[in-house]
Amino acid sequence: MAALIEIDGLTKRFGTRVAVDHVSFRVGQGEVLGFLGPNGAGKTTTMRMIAGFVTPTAGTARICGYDVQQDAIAARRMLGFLPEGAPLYPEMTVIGFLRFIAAIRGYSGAEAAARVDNAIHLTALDEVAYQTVEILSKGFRRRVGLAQALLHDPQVLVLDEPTDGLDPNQKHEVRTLIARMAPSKAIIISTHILEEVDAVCSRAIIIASGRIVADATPQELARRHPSGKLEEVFRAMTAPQAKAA
Amino acid sequence: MRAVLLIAGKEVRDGLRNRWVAAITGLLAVFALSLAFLGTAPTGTVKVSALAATMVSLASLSIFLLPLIGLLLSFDAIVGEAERGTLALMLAYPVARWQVIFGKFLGHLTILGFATVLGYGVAGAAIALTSGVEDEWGGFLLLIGSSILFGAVFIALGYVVSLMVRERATAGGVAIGVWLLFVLVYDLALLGILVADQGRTLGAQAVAWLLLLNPADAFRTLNLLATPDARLFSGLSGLAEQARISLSAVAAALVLWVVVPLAASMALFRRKQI
Repeated sequence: MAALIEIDGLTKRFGTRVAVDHVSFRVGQGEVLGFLGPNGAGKTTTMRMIAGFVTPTAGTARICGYDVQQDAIAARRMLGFLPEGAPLYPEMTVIGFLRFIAAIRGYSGAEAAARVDNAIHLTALDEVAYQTVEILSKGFRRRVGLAQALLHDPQVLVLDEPTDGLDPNQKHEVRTLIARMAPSKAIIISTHILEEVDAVCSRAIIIASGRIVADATPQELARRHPSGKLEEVFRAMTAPQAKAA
Repeated sequence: MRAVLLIAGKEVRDGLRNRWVAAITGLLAVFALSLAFLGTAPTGTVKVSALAATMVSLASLSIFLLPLIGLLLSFDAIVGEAERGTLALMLAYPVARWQVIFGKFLGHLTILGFATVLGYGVAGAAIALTSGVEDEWGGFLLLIGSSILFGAVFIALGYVVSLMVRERATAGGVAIGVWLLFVLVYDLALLGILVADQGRTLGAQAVAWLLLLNPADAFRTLNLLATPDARLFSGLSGLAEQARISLSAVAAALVLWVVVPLAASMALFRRKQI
């Protein structure tokens, strides 16, 4: 299976502090990778390096073979990205926002309209399509964020905390959508919600203090603790005393 | 270019939606009309046309207002979007960072240009209707064009400010500092230096070139050189005429005042970690 996301020795230092320390992994088509870690572990910095927002101190990130620094534009054509907090333009209507994104991505005319319609349909936004983003509920806003990431049917999806702040029903909807798309894409979900991993991820990486401390399927990870609970494995690997040892 | 125009269009629509365009246009029109009617009162004494007197007043208005408008449009263009998270959204799309800056610049320049043409145009129309001036309109058009160019300088400087700070509030403070520096402090400092120097070191030529280091003085000098009647108004820029700086040199200085900060903002943005 060819890897669509290739991360090699990715390192980021801020002064003397090492935020991400030689992180390497690959994600192939059909994989949904849960990227786990406590707050401050380096998840968001890694996501930002993969998206090309932050220049790595060392190492490379490739999306569909394109280096995110050297071939940034080509890499971004292959990438659907949901930033942390799902930021949007609040004054636009949902359909106006998606049309703007379609145009920015180079679509026009009937193709743009078809892609916008498809993204609205996929994320079940029909009923709010003509409402402005600022009056939408958090759940709908997150879905609009997902719609913009899916609009161009990318091979790679990077979703930063896609269900953070959503109610159980909304979380279920988002996870169902991710599971439906999974077979045709490589997906990374950055999260600290462990139930997310059980629900949608085929593989999980745990990061602590900028380093990968585990990389396995959720089932394999769970077996690493007598309780069989992913939460206990996570705590054992990322708690301060575990890191000190 | 398509991405640049899309971003510019978004900025213009944002300006229309949040009534920036209406507010700026109204402000310029009110001030310009006031100056056109009130500022032409002394024309009989100084023997200049109503249009020339209005142009002098409008040039002074431009020096105070357009930098403020330019900076207000641009100071949070990057830092504001970074705070709201929408910068990460925009940069996730296949758009080069220079395109984001250039698109915003075109959009903000369109807003400022529209407001200036309409605002000053109203004053010009009022003069045409009331005083029957037939010539000198070339100078008036130059005033409008150079005012837009002058505003563009501060739009570009606003992006540099927006890229050098981490918080929107800080950007606002620095933008006010930039306005004070170029509109008030620079001339006062230059005057102080001239008084202290008493002409021993700095000749008219050197002072004229020092004026070009301030876009406000370059703008004033440009309009002074281009409009004979306008030379009657006083100010430091009279030195530029004595030093025989060419109109094209002053215009080039003003263009450079747009290009250099714009290029600097693109370079800063390329290296910025989001």
